[in-house]
Amino acid sequence: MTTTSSNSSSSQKARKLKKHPSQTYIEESQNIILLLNRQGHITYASPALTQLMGYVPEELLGRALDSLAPRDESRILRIILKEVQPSPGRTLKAEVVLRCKDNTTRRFEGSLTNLLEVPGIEALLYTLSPVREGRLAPSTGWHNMGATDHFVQFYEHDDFLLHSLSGYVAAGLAANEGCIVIASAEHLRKLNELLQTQGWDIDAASKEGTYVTAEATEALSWFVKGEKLDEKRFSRIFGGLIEKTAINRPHVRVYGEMVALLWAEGKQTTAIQLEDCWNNLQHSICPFSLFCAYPIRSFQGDMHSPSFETICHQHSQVIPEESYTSLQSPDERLRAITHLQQQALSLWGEIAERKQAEEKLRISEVRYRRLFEASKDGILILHPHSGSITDANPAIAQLLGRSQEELIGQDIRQVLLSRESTKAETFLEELQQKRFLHYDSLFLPHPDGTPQYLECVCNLYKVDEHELIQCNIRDITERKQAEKALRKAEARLRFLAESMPQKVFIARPDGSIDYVNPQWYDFTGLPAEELLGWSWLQCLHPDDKEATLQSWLHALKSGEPLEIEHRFRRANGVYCWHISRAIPIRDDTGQITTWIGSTTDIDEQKQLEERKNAFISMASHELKTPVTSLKGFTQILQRRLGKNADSQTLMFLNRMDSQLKKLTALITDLLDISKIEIGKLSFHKEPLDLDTLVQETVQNVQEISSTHHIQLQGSTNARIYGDRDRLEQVLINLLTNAMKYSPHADTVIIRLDRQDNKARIAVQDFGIGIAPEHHHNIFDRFYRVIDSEEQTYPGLGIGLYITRTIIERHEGQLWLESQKDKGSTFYVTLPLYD
Amino acid sequence: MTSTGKKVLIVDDDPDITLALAAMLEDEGYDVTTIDRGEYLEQLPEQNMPDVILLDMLLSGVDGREIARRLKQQPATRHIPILMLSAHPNAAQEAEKAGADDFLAKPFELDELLNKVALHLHSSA
Repeated sequence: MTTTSSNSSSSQKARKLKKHPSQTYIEESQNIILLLNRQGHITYASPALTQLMGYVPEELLGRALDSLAPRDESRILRIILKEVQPSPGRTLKAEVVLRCKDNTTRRFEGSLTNLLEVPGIEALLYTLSPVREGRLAPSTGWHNMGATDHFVQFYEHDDFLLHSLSGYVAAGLAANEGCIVIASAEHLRKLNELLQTQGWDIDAASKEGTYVTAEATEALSWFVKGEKLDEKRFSRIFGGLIEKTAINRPHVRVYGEMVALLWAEGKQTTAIQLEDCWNNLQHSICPFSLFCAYPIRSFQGDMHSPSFETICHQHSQVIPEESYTSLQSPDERLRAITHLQQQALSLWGEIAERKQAEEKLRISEVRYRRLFEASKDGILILHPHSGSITDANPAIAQLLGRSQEELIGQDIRQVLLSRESTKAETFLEELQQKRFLHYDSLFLPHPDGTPQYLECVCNLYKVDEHELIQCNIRDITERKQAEKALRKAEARLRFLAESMPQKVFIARPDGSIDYVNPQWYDFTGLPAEELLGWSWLQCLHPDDKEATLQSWLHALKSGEPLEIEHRFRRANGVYCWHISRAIPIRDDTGQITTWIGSTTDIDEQKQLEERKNAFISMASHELKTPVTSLKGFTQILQRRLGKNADSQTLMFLNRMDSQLKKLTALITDLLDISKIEIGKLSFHKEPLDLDTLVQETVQNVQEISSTHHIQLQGSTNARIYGDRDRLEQVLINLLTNAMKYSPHADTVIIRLDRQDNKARIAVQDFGIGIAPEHHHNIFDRFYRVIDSEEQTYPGLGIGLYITRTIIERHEGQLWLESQKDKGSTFYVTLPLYD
Repeated sequence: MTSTGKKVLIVDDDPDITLALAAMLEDEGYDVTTIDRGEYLEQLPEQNMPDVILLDMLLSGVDGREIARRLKQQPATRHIPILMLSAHPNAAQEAEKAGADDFLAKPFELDELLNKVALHLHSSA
């Protein structure tokens, strides 16, 4: 036979027990084997439990045996326990009915044996074999655990041995039995400590002679010289000691490590001799029980198997045969059960450790739980193999419109992937493979019917050796809908951009172009890459490049919209006038993210306008020529007839002259308009004394006016920088307007002063006034106040437009204050020249 | 105003304007000669140079500005004051550029014409 044949058990972690072959047998047994403690609580259950009753062994640990039976059957178990528990070695058999996990019941033949007194076991052994039809109950009884029992224990760790030993001794002391312990100094010390912590007064017991100890090496030296053993000396010494201890005591318990010591020293023959001596002693003197323990490491390998068997054979039989019929020797059976108990103990240790860990875990669990409950993301915990939901947080319940209770136990694939059959099919497999899954968009309508998109991340991971799946689920409906809307809007915009006649471009904040619509390719004949970035500049007319760049860079820097006219080269090489406009698009923070622009072909318009302006320019010239000669002749006549003509003739001539002046002014205005239109109104600015200019102009206007007196008030004392003729034109326009629109008044006031470091001119009349709704438009081209109740005043509606343009070109301002029927005051301000 | 006998040359292709100008100046006692094409200026008799030239800017044939330039380049005519007339916009600057001494916009006031002519005769005398 072999024991722990391979690894050195000492190198293994404490409590992690290597499976013993006989233990393996038990674990593979068709019978359920339970170990119970003195109180009848289960401390070990063999794996057959799962197959026969559906429980996982761990589930039953710590449970009372009678709790396994249905209520009306549990009494039988309690009776059996009550009978067996006080009697070491006692066995009782009875048919029992037990409740399986699935709540069905099953009938077993149970055999309960009291092994509480067996060192290393100290348990009640309960074997349950399922009752089959026609099976005959075994009839062989247990051997009574007699007074001369010889126990053997194979141990791996001192802790285990000392636990057994202290139990053995304590039971003896409790029954007032004599206890003789022959052990290594270290074991003795530890045993004493252990007994003291259990409340035994060791010193008193030693004094009384109840508790006798001897150091094993020393004791050996009394009767062993080298490998030679003196049996007579042994019998005399130990026989005497036992008999002496037995006086007035019901029984004597002996524990010996001398055999083990010899064995460990390699004196196998001597060890076996000593075993014989002990056996002989048991038969020759008063009865005593003997407990021997062997460290399993001493029996490694097959080398000592025969000797080992010899030792085993020398032990008395205490383990019922019929429970383990396939285990040939009682020693194997004993060892098998010992191992079970070792495992059971280690299991308790583990449980204790686990409880500690669980406490820590509980704290972190509480923490985790809070996160879990408070999380805005939906979280599901799944069983790793079935995919069924084991936990769900409130957020997911809300998201799915179902209660947490409803969700638990459901299959994730039906809950979340009901619309995604392909994903549902591969869900678990894929997760097992990759341990991670990400669905960026699951369509899952809310139970109330509203469409809903979810993003789902699943992780498969281990917590305390247990795998679980965690799924975090987020509602991305809003984002999804925004994306959808965006795509729709984008498609719409793209359609617009591609179907409109205008050229469209989109630029980055740095001004480089990153989109042009197909109209650009059609017009320039160039592919997109030769238009994107800054390449489009090559299509501009060389004369327009600098101005375009300047305007564009200014717009980019200031964030002001762009508007510029420039020429782009058509595929055939001809340049065409375009107007380009661009506006910035900003994000929430006001940062410009992009520029959108359009470029419109205005070439035809431009040409038309140029022709129009050329026409007006030519027309004004052609009109002026006859006026010049007319005026010339008129003036000659005035002069020649001056002294001799009658007053009426002279008056007619004066009228002719003043009408010719009006005609000249109209022609000049027309020409100015066309100049303004094409941006060619030119200025010849020079430093001017404004007060003088005003005085001269007032004088000139006064000369030709017979109806109004122009009052000049105040002064600006200002030098300004401007075009004399143009400013004169402004003053003439304002003064003639003032007179024209105050036909019933006889005064116009022109006031000079300074305001905010600017020169200010105010021209005030006492005429018909202008209603406020017209104030804004009055400076517009061709705008005329139309009032059906009023008499009409002749004019082209361009005077104030030209005036405004001139003032603006002098960086000045022009505005009016007026009320209907209360007259008007026009204000002009001009910057000072220093 | 003592202008008697001073020679004024008028160059304009509009006969009515020429007529009016001539009448105005003759009424003031000037010795007026009129021509309607600039080219004729190149054959000006050396002994009978005008004291002032009234030159229209937009002449048919050689442009008034070109004529002004040529006159101002020739030593014999460089000193003669040129008063340029035009109904054209921006003509004042053009006249200055071409080398004219003064400019009068059409239509003009009689007094303004007489003042300018007198001014140039006086300064060149």
